[in-house]
Amino acid sequence: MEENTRCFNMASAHKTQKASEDKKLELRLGPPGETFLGYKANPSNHGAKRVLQHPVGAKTSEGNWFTDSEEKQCKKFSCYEEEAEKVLSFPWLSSSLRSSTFHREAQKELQKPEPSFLQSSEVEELQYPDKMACSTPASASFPATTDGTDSCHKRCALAPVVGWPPIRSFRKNIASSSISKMVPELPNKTPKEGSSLNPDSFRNDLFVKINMEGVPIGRKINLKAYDSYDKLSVAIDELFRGFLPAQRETGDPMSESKMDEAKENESSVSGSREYTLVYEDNEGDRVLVGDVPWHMFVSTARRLRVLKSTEKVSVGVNKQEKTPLSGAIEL
Amino acid sequence: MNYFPDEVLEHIFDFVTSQRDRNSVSQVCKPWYKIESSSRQKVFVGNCYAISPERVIERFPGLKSITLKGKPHFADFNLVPPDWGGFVYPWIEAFARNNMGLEELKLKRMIISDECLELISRSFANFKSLVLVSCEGFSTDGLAAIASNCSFLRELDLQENDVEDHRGHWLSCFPDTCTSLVSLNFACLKGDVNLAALERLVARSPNLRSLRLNHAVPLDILQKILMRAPHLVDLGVGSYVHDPDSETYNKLVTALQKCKSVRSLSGFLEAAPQCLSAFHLICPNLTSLNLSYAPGIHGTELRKLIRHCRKLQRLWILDCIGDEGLEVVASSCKDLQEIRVFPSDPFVGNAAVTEVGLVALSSGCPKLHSILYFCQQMTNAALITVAKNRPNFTRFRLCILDPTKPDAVTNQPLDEGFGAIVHSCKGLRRLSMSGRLTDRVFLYIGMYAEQLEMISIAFAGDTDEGMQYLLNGCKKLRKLEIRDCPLAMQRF
Repeated sequence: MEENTRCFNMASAHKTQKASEDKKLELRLGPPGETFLGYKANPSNHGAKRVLQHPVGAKTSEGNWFTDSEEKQCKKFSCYEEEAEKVLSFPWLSSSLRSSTFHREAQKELQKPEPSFLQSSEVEELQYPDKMACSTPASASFPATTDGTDSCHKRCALAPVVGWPPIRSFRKNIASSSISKMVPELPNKTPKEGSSLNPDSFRNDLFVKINMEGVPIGRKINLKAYDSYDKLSVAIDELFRGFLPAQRETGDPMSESKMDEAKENESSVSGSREYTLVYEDNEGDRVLVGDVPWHMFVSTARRLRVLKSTEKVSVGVNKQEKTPLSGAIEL
Repeated sequence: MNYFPDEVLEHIFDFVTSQRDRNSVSQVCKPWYKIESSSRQKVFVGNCYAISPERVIERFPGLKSITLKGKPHFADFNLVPPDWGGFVYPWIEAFARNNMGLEELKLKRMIISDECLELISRSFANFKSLVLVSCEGFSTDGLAAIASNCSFLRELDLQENDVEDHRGHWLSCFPDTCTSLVSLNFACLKGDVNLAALERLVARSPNLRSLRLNHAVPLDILQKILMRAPHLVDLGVGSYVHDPDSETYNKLVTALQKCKSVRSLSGFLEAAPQCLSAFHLICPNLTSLNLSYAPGIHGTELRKLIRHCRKLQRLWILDCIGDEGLEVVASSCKDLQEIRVFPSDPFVGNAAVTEVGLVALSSGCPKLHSILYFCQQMTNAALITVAKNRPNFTRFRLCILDPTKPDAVTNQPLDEGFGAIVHSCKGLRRLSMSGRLTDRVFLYIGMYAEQLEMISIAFAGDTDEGMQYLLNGCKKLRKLEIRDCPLAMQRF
């Protein structure tokens, strides 16, 4: 193979070079920050090992990235020094396409003392071992929390990160959007079928936007956190409590008015019921909250809106104009 | 020296179709530049702000077809502010003012208004093709203008746009004289459509080969449409919820029996899985299947469907197919070249596919070269196996729903796994990574990913050395997407 020929040519070229330079190269080879000695002391460090073993094309099966056993690794390691020249030549000097600045830079990097690395705040839970400590097996230096969080990863909802996962907004509520229209599978399926999971098991969160008339900044509310309209309206009250205008028509305490509203299945943030809750469904229509059973509402609601009651009148008029009867069928 | 008359050169250049090749041709010498520029009909502008419309018009006076891309890819994921830009109006206005004979317009991630659509429909007499991908700013009124005024319209293709829907009026705007439609895709429209107008439109479009319906088109209309358009090659089913014992369903089966040309199937926006057996008739000929908007299709019915699709080359699917379903894909679809597995419930982090499915695909599908895979977890061992099995990957995009998750078995970073991928897949042009990644993976990428043109990174790396390895090593890198990476970027 081309690689082996290159290896060989470089190896013979290498022999003519000064021994000290070779030694320098030996010491430098390996992932950033790891010294040769550090590597030698710890053959269990799989990561670094792979970088070194790969180029040994002549002696091992080609490009065997994934090594087989500890024993083999130790053996290879012990004859490392003999093969050092061939090993070293391959990745760093083989290709004429590589800019010389690149490998000069890289060699400098490997020579440097351990750089202190930055950790982003998101990865605090999953600290991986400090490079200086790669002498210890990697798993031991993990904080205990990762064991606990392992199973949690499989079950818990993720802390929402903006723009993650990288999918278009079209795809975001796909599972819940068609729940109400799906016909459930036949019951005679084996429990082993992983792909026929009850769709309910996927649904732990459904965050939808909720805007209040007259308030420029909206909120987000998790519809799955509630199981009835009552609880939803209580939650909405709490969300927008801070945005209430200073005056109120009545002096009723919040809790009383909440209970009143809850019974009516209408959300209101003041005792006078001057607000109405509507939602936008998966077809883009605005619908009054409360008409359909709760689970159906959750599966079709896309966003919520708290309207002032005066607004409601005009909304009603618009809705009439937009009914399917008048809109869709034009001959 | 120029031994040929211009006409001959022009004729030769006609055979050079790729944009890159034509750009190279134009750089050979001044005469070639002149001839190439005056004869180029198709222009591709990867960044709409890279050049002014006036300059494009000046250089390519014979322009008939233009593709414009606006917002960066990250805009799909709400990572770009809404007022970023990407307006197409200045382009259309300039083309109209200069009497360009525009026939084809393809836009990606741009903002196009109804006024702009109307301007297009009135300014270009031979306008034939409008393709809008991930665009916004317009409503069905703009579509009505296009339908009304573009007498020779062949293609109206709306892919995943955010359209303000004023209901079904626009479809009725196609005049009775319009019989030239070849391709119509309105799957992304959220509202109702005028079903009678749709049926009549299909009936008078003998050249119709591609039709993708939205969710408002029910099964009985679908069946009638299929009876009128048996030569369809690409079909997007709308709503697919019905009673399998009904007469409508039987009629559908009859209609599908006549559709011997369908090669591409998509849609099933609301679907009842046990009625899919009607489509088993056309599965053996399918080369492309997109069920990524159909979470209702999973389990045994999905696997049955897949087993019939022996000639499949492209598959877009949701992760509710599960590892088991992917194993069925691996054993049935030996011609598979591209697969995309999307998350059905992304915020729960409860994807039903893991590294097992990925390994199965890599070992069962010898022609697989392009993958987008959203999964629950990954391991270095799996990635290394995949790299060994499938060195022909050109596009490898892996997204673990928990973006900083390490190897699920060893808790190590996934550096080694991705290192194996870039080392083994010599032709890799596009790479997206996720999971716990350190600077080491960038070292590997810089060393081995010689053909890499586009890379997407999130929550990866430790220091700016990682970026250095990447930028120094990947000479062909054109597009770099980074977010939330602790890289100092001072040397950028």
